[in-house]
Amino acid sequence: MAEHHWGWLVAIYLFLGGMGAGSFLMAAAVELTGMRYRQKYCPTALVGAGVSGPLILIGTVLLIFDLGAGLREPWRILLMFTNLQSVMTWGIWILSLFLPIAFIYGILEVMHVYPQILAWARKRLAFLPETLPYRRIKRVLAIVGGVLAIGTAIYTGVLLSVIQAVPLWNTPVLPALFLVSAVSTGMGLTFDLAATLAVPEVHRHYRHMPLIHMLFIGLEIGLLALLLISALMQGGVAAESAKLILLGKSSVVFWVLVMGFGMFYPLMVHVYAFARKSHGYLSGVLSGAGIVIAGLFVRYLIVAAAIPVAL
Amino acid sequence: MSPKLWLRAMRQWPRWTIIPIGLALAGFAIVLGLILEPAGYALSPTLVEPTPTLPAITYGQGISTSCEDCHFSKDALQASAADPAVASDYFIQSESAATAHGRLGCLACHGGDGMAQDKDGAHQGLVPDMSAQNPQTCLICHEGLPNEIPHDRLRVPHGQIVDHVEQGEPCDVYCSDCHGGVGHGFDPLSGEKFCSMTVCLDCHQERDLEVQITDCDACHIGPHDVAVSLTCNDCHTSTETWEEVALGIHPVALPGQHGQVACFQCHQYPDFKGLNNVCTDCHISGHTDWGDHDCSACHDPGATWDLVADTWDEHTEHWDQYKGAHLKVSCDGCHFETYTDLDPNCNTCHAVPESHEGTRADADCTGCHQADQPWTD
Repeated sequence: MAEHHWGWLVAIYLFLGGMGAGSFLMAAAVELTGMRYRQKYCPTALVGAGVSGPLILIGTVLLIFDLGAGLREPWRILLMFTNLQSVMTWGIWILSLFLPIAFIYGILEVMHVYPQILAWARKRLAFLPETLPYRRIKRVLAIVGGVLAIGTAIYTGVLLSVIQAVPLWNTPVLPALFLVSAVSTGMGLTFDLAATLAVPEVHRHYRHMPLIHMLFIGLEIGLLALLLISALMQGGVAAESAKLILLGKSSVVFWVLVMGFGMFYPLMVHVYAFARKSHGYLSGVLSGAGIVIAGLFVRYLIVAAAIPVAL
Repeated sequence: MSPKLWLRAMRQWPRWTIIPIGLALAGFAIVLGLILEPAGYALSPTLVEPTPTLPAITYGQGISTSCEDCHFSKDALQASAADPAVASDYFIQSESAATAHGRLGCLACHGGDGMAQDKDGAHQGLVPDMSAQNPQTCLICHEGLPNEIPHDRLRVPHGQIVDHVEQGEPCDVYCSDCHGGVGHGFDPLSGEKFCSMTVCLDCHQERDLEVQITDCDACHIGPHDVAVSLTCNDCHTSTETWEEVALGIHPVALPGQHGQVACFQCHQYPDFKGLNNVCTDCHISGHTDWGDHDCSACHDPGATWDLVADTWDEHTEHWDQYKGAHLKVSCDGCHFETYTDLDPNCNTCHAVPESHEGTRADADCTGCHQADQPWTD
């Protein structure tokens, strides 16, 4: 059986890229819906805006280490901007546009929470205005950045799905799965984990979050099942890849960490939270951890279990 | 400090600290994943390895698009062929991609580069006939080839071919000689394109092989324990289908419809055993309480059951009045209840007239009347 092409570096890049895009989408959503301004302090917006840029940047840096010739001769990376027929080139353009927007949005969010930063900067740069129309600027950046964030999440799936030599990847389900997973992990990090740690009662301010969580977790389960079932039915190499995940050496990771801790446990927590209109502090944090872990391992298992067509 | 106190303290931290906390949580998830992955692998069942459903052959599905673009299109073949006159010879029906072999992809058998844009590049390393150049590759999937096909009662040369291939010896017969272009729609096992005997005959004759074409037993596993004096050709008049059989040498005459019945409607398959050459082997008698197995005593085998022999000498022995008008009556007209123990007295069927009541009522009618004469005489 042939070894898979890509390893942990690529899986982490896909994970960070997806989660960074999902975090930005969370921040953009609370901004555009006005939920960010219902409370004096919105940790979701601050975390989402603040982590999205760094997460994607870290992932991109890791990706550079995965390059071969590009690491030894970095100027060759410029050539990757020119091959417009390649999905990798699309991804580079999307990231090149999204990264600065994500960082600017993050800085604006921090400045919005801490107005004294602008005051400090005005002391050194007098031309800076006394105040900025944060909401107006952030709204525009949220829309533009949101589109690019969706593109980033989808592109990571398209990157794998265009590889015809790996039957497990060569399916249109993969980009959809990665998009849903990206949004889900973004919610898990920004809302369940970070926001709950900072403000334990944050879930009381977002009564629809359990329902939204349930929707995305359910979608993720459905798309993952569709991916594996279609691989099994396809037979041959695709079925062998799926069996590796379901029955083989990756089975414990899949069933315990991904399906158990990463999907069914958070699903139960949010079903309970939806029904009871509240959930415990610890269960909220753990469900967020589970969602993030599941997002990482879904990508890793798909990358690791891929068996290419031998040539 | 207890976790609760830590959490309470954390809530007192500046709000911006939640950003590095979020980043740290993401990093922690990755570290946790790196730790849990080998642990998960160690705990995973090692015995339940997914059984390879297919052997390790080259799967070309999905990366043979250049092959399909050209060979599925007559126009493309004409445009790229060195000799357009023979371009159509390389046309392949697109439906063949859905067959069992077609689903492997062109590259699986023929090699080449299925993604190249030019013909020369696509044909680099091309294998025109895999069964001729790499016959062992066919055997990766096709293990345990039979030497007989019981359903068709046929002997096949698989064993000789496999022996040669496994020993690395040159083999004069390739899989494709009999099985044609299996990847291109010809599937002998499905029966859609029947591999007729002429294929075998032509090849045997061309190569002047040791096995004689007239030696039917060389390939056909006959079902019949026929007499030594008979050969296959004595009965079978066609080499295309066994059903065309001549009846000239049938040991028993087959008059009437008997000659139109298929062999195994009367005979047991496959050795023709079970017949005692009597009518009741096949026919159920309508009068089981009478008569013996020789139905021809009354019934004409070359006609229908209704026609009974006009002369049946034994009938007059049983009844001397079987003459005259009685000959015009059907068997059932008298024997409507039974063929045996029928009272031959005239009043069994005929009523005694009023004029005979009295002293002549019990008299024997034949003393005055005969069946071949009118009652009035």
